[in-house]
Amino acid sequence: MNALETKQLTKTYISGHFWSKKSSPALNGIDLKIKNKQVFGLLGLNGAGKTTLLKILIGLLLPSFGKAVILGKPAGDIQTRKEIAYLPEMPYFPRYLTPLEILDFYGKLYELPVVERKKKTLEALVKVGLYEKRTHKLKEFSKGMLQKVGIAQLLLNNAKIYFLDEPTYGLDPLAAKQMRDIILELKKAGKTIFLNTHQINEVNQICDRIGILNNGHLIEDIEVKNIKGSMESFFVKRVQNNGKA
Amino acid sequence: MEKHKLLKILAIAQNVLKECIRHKIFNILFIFAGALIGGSLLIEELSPGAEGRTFINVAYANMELFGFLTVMLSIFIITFEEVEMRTLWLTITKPVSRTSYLLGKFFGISLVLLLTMSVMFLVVFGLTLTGKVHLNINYLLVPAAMSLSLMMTAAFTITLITIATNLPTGIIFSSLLFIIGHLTEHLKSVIENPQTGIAAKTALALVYYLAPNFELFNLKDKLYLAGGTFDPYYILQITLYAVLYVFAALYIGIKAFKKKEF
Repeated sequence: MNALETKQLTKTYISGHFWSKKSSPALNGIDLKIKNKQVFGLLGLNGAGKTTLLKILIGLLLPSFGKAVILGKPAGDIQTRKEIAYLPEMPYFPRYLTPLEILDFYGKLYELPVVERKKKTLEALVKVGLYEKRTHKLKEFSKGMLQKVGIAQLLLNNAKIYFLDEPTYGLDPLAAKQMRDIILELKKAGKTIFLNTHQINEVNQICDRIGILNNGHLIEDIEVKNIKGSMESFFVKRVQNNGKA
Repeated sequence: MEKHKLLKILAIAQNVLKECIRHKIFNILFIFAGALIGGSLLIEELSPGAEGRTFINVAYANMELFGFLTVMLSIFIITFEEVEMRTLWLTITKPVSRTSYLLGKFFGISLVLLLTMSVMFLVVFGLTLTGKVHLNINYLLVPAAMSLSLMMTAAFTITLITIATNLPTGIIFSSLLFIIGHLTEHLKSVIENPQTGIAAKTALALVYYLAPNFELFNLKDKLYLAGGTFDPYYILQITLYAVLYVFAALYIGIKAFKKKEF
């Protein structure tokens, strides 16, 4: 069974006023299938449409045409959201709450019973190394620490699919390694992972399959084991030749 | 309503309350409100013979002003964090409907408002113990009606912000609506004036029927006219009016929010 599937997924942004509307295409007919337990890495240059695709999959944006299906239901379905976890590129949290409070809040949204919620919250904070700071207000946190809170909230609901947008963004080398280890643990536990990244090394270490987006087109969709030579040169060639080998 | 839905709405409302009462701006607002309400005691010295009445009028006027500022500030702070700082991304990708999300925000802001109004009323109550005014239940109905009108303000501000493309536009429009809502009786007299042109009459009639009529909730001015008592039927009527207005405003807001992309 596919964990995720898109058919002719298209997104066009409309801007301006009703008397002078401008449309800019962001995604053009994306057909993608990601199997259960697969780790898929989406690569692309800035503005290629990676974040747009991810936002449609998690329900923050609506497609202009085509469809996206997650675990057999349309993207954005409330019941399906219990089975997914999402980490944005730079997660922000209400500044006057503490990590303990925000994780407890997310636990409530996931409908976790009180005891389980408290247990998972503390476990997640220990895992990302923020247990000592659990009662500090989030406004005192650095970018890297906020990213760790973002990682902690991923671990609350034992999701089936993880959507990660630049998960090592803003992290120091040690924390970045810790993040990669968490992703590898999730992979080992048989989770499906959709990874949006610029870090080619990360893709090499973690992914089973990659897709390359260029100007809103999926120009490549290939198993990592079938890539000959270095991932970096493969990516550069494909983007420069717009998908042609 | 499903138990889980209700718990999620409560969790969102609780977060709004926590965030607002911990925010520095609110602490400053509270100090100002306390000082101005306390200052009402000094102003009453300027009107010999009607000291108690002046104090109550000025104190209640300050309560309404600070109630309005509380609503606007809470909505501004919450929306700024949620939309501009994108804290909402993580919340609405969790299993919570956009309806529950918006209702949670509305109830949270209403809780902040009710807390602020209660504290301000306690300050007024404490000051009346100096002996110039003897409060009865009707004095409590004045801030209660004020709170209802401010909850209506919160509902249409949330809706306007949801519909508007940016936060300042939403705040400006809702502030204008708040002012128009206090002038509806004047609008009525302009509409009824035979010298008013047909086009102006139609436009003003549209505004008159769409804008909330906050004059209905102004029990402060009626406190002395009514001889210190209010008709319970009238109180019920304005409560129903507020509930219906809030319901209609939030219904439009929810419809718009469901189509909103982030």
